[in-house]
Amino acid sequence: MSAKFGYVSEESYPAIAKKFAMNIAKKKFIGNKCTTCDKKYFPPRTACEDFHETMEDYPVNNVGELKAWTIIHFAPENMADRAPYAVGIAELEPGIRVLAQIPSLMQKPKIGMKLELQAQQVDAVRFTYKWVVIKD
Amino acid sequence: MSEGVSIVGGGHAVFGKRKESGLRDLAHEAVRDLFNTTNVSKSDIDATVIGVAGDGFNGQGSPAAVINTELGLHGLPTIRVESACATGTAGIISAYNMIKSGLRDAVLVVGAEKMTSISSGEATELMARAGDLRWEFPFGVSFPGYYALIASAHMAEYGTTREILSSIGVKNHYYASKNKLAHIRKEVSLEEAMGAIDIASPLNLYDCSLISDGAAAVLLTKDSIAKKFTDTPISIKGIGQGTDTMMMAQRESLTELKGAQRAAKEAYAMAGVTAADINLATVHDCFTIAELIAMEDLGFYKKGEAGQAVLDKQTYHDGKIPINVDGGLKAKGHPLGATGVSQAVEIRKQLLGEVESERQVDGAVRGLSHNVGQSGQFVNVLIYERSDL
Ligand SMILES: CC(C)(COP(=O)(O)OP(=O)(O)OC[C@H]1O[C@@H](n2cnc3c(N)ncnc32)[C@H](O)[C@@H]1OP(=O)(O)O)[C@@H](O)C(=O)NCCC(=O)NCCS
Ligand SMILES: [Zn+2]
Repeated sequence: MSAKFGYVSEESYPAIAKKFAMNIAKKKFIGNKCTTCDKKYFPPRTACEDFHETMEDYPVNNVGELKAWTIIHFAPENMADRAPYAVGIAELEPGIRVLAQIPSLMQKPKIGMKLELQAQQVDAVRFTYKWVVIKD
Repeated sequence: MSEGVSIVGGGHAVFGKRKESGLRDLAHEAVRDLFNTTNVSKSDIDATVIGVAGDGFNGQGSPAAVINTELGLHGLPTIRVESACATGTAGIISAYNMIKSGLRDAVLVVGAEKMTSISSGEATELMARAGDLRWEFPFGVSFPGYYALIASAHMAEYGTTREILSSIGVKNHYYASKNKLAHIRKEVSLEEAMGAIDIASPLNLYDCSLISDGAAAVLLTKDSIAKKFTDTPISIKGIGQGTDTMMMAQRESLTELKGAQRAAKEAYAMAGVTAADINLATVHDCFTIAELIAMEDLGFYKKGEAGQAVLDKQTYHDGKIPINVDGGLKAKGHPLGATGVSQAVEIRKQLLGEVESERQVDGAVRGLSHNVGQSGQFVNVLIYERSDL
């Protein structure tokens, strides 16, 4: 099976992005961690930014807190038919922040609100994740 | 220490939707203005540095070669520089380095962009590609969107309001209306600005810079020959640079640009001055929130205090620290590669007392330019000073 990441994309698909998207298809959010210095990456990197080479999988917890938001009304041409859409950055754990759309959002987002990262299938080969507001 | 570097002349094309002019025509217009207003001729130039940010706007690959040829300078050495929206100052810094190293004596810097040959939607997509193509572009984040994320965080953290952001837009439109080189020369009311259509909320139309065509040029020389061209060289006293992560989600802070803080610190140290010694600034207001955080990152105001200063009109031409009294990217326009060079041209004219009287900062001797690429992935800060006084 082959998989692509996101709603739209341009980059030809390197192994690391394919694997990431395939994990999302299985509802798994897996970044990686450097076995030498413990630095964590989500999404994953091929090698550590400090040039250590051995990495291991690092599944992230999927509940986060909203740090920043926008609602895109005037979209890039290739996303125009989806506008308006909300995008948020939320923190899953210290140092791991994730940017994704918040598709179900009806009113203005509130900084600090709790969100859950969920898998979303865009089409036959495309997978991404989205933020879903957790009601409390 | 080797001798310093000065700007001895500046030229500027009229910014706007320039239907009848292509990239090369705009560059020629800017350099023509430089030759017409300065005692410089082509034979004085040793090399050119040409800044164009995007290749996709008009389809011309290798834009530097086209511009160099249009200027009739083919044969001379040239290089193209690109640092997204900070391309213009990257050009000035490259020319500075060439001269400072002793390689060249006089280098012409041209920044140019032709952005309006494609639709705004296409331009928005092209610029969105300057976001991380692998991990953030796939979510449809536009450039206004990246700064809207920053705005939302700044609003939550410091109580920044719609009125503060719109007041910056109102000021910049006011000054563009006085600037004959500006793209939009129409004032807007606070009410109009606050009620404009959303582009990427919390940012609306009057928070966004313009998609413009334009070009600007400066000639840099080593100090010892500067007086040959002008009685009033403008000295480059400070240069600072900083950067940040490609992905917005990986930023340590979403309410400031760390790269700008670093660039400012370096530039002040090199010039031997502090924020309080700056008489006017041109900052990279690609969005109103960007001007607000620049006021804080550059040390003009403490974090969270720039908003009140805006409401108090401290950044008007007769205020505490005049900012973007040429209309800024917001209303003078933002032809990407031209912007940083345009800032230098504006500061030079301000220091020489040559701008329209309604926006002239009286007695200014030192100006600062803050030029940002993307959302802080490149930041260049330069400090310019009149050296004849
Ligand atoms: C906001 C934006 C999408 C609006 O573009 P648009 O909807 O296509 O606007 P148009 O070109 O159709 O212009 C419609 C009118 O609005 C005006 N206008 C366009 N953009 C404007 C802006 N940012 N502010 C104020 N007025 C604007 C035009 O002058 C025109 O006025 P007119 O009808 O009197 O001639 C566009 O200005 C934009 O993308 N700006 C941001 C650019 C950017 O991201 N730069 C990189 C920064 S790092
Ligand atoms: Zn490591």
